[in-house]
Amino acid sequence: MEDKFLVEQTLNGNKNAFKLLVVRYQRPIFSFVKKFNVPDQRVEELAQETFLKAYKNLQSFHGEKGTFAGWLFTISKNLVLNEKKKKEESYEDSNAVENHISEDNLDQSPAIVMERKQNVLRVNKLINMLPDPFKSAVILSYMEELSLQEIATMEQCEVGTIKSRIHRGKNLLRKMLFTEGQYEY
Amino acid sequence: MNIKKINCTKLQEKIAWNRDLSSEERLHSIECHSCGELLLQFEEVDAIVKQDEIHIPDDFSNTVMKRIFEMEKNKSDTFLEIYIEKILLGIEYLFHTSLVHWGVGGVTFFIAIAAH
Repeated sequence: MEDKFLVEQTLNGNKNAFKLLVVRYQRPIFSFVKKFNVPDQRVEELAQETFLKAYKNLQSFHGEKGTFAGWLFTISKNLVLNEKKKKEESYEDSNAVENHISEDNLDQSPAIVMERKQNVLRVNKLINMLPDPFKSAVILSYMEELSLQEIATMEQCEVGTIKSRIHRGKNLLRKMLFTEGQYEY
Repeated sequence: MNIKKINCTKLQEKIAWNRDLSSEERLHSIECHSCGELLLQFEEVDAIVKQDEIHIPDDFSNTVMKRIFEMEKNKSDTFLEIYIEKILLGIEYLFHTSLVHWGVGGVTFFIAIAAH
């Protein structure tokens, strides 16, 4: 079922249609918010707020101007950036490695799990150290739901600019990872 | 052969966008040293980023829907409250105006009687 159809149904008062959209996009939105190095305890709240805000403003979504996914990620991005502006200091190192060991990993060696988590945290931290236009371009490039055109619309620039930002951002990230000596290659 | 056909800079940009490469481009990136090394490093970065496990609470969508229902209920409650408040204000206004009318009328009546 297409997003556009579900949006129309929601606007006609069918809340189950919106629930389908929530189920469809909950994972990408969680993943997106998490990449901004948001503390775990706030990730769920921000994801909830994203969907609530989307529901409240669904009338203002115009399908012809872009996709629902792009619109939803824009809401999420604005919420995260507003929150980060307010609480930048308290975000520092709030995601300790210990907090990242979930029940799913219990059958794996703790050393492997810990190492993997450390790598993820290090990369997320480095992504967040990228200069601003590169940071969001790189994070958005990992969202498979978005095309380059959609990312460009979200970032209000040309596709060529987005391509260049992703390329430069990921190159910076690669250099930070592989030349700092923090990561063995 | 493919090495000569493809522009390395352009291909390296494409590798960074993480979008599908054509079979020709894939072949080039295996044969070309600099493209191949870059592809490996980007693949490794991407793999780490994608390793990030996302734990979504089982009842997440239900929680969102519950909050939507609450939000709508509050909205209709507020609407009702505003509506009732307006009715009450109207009644109060009518009462006051009538009282004033009666008051003015009464005083005029007494003055008229006294004058008479």
